[in-house]
Amino acid sequence: MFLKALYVGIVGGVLSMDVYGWGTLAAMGRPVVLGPILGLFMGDFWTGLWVGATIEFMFLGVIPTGAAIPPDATMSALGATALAILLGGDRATAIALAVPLALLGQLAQVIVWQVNAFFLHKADDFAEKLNLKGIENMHYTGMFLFFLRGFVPIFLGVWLGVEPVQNFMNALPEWVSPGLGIAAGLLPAVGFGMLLNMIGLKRYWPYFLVGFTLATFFSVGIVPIAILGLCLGFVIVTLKSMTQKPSEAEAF
Amino acid sequence: MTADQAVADTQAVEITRKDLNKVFWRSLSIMASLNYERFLAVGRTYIMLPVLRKLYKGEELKKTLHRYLEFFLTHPYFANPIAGIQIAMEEERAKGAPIDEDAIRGVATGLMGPLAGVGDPLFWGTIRSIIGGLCASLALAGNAIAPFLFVILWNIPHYFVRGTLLYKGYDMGMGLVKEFRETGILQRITEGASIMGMTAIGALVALWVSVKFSPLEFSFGEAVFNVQSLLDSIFPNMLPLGLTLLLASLLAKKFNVNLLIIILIGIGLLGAFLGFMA
Repeated sequence: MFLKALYVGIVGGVLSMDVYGWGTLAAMGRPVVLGPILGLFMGDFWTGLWVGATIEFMFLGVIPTGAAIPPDATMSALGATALAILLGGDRATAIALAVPLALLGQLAQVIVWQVNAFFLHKADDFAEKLNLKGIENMHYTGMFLFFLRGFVPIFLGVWLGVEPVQNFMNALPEWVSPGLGIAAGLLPAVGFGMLLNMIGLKRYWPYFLVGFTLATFFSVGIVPIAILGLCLGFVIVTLKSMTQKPSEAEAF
Repeated sequence: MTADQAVADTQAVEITRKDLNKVFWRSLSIMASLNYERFLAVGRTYIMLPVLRKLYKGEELKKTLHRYLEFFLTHPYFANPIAGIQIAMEEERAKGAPIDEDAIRGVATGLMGPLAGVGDPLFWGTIRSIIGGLCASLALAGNAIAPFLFVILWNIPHYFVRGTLLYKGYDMGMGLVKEFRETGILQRITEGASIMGMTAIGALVALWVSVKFSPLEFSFGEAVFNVQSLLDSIFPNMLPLGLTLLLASLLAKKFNVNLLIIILIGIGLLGAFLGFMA
């Protein structure tokens, strides 16, 4: 079972890296693609096809936007396909586990994004020392972490069997996963804070408030707000150049 | 640094098709170093490296690397047209054109929000729902072609945005750069991009930063107060705004970023453990 778990884990890990890793085909991470391919490797293409398609439907409406991490359809499909085939084609059990697996995948995703922040700071240091290879290695390290994110849960799941997976999920203190979720909502503020300092909050704060107000009080989406920002920028800049240097404004 | 030093650290070389191809292949893995603090920062630095190491060296290269390690978040495919424009601008800058660093930065900060706003609903929403729905129905009907069909249909728009638009962005960037030179509107573009970026960031803070208290209720005699709805009635999204501004001012005072992140994760875990946040 150990070797089988290793084999399935590696195949699953590599497949799960498509979106967050090598990204070449960028469709491999979807249940409907990943289920049958993993099935092929495990010797039961048709079960994989069915499980993958069923989970594809379950997660069709789950859409990631911006910095938010939704329940993980990729991990759900990998785990459920592997379990269904190992259980001798028991599709019902596999599908019952689809949602817990997706939540586990989401948790793994949050952890990798947080660990990668550490390597980001390493990359800062390498830039300071002009170590380009070092920066590249930090990128590859992230890639490897995304491999582990797929490999570890599948390897453990297959190796230990079905029951411990459920027990582990139940044993995890129930505040850990929501706690990381709350932190995930707070953390983008760090990046935005840096960006505000970079562009210059003192000079441009009114535009920041315009965007914030439109999104908060008028529920305007990001695309119309950006278009408005573009127009604002154009108008302000044109007005300025007209009042300051009329000759240049003509050339413009 | 003086202008002379900057010139000494730049190399006026042509960026060839071959360099762009290298950037393209690297761009496929842009998501690999995704992190919560600056998101695609390492990824896009990795992508730009073949170009940057050709154009700059020494202090100038160091400065440029730090410039790309800044906050960057957009739809992964649409990072490529941005990279294309920036490559063209870096090339001209290295050749001695008066292109400000802020102008190159402004291309990314100004375009990343709107392009994510186009890319997320377009790819994850529209295209994926249509292709996914189609192929999953085929698969459930026992058609083995379904997974391969998904891969083919998905990768047509995928490679159009990542491939075609990278090279288009580069060509357009060159055109833009020439226009800058002839009309001297570079400063205006920079300011316009800053205004656009600031407006977009204001919206992004409201949409992406989430600070919520659980429906905590305090009662004083007859009156019952629900903290979150009380705050919302004064000013919705007041906490995300406050947190962002607080962090901006702390960061401006050179507060340790790692410590801030650890504190935020701690607050999240504590909030869930004690149940005062959601």
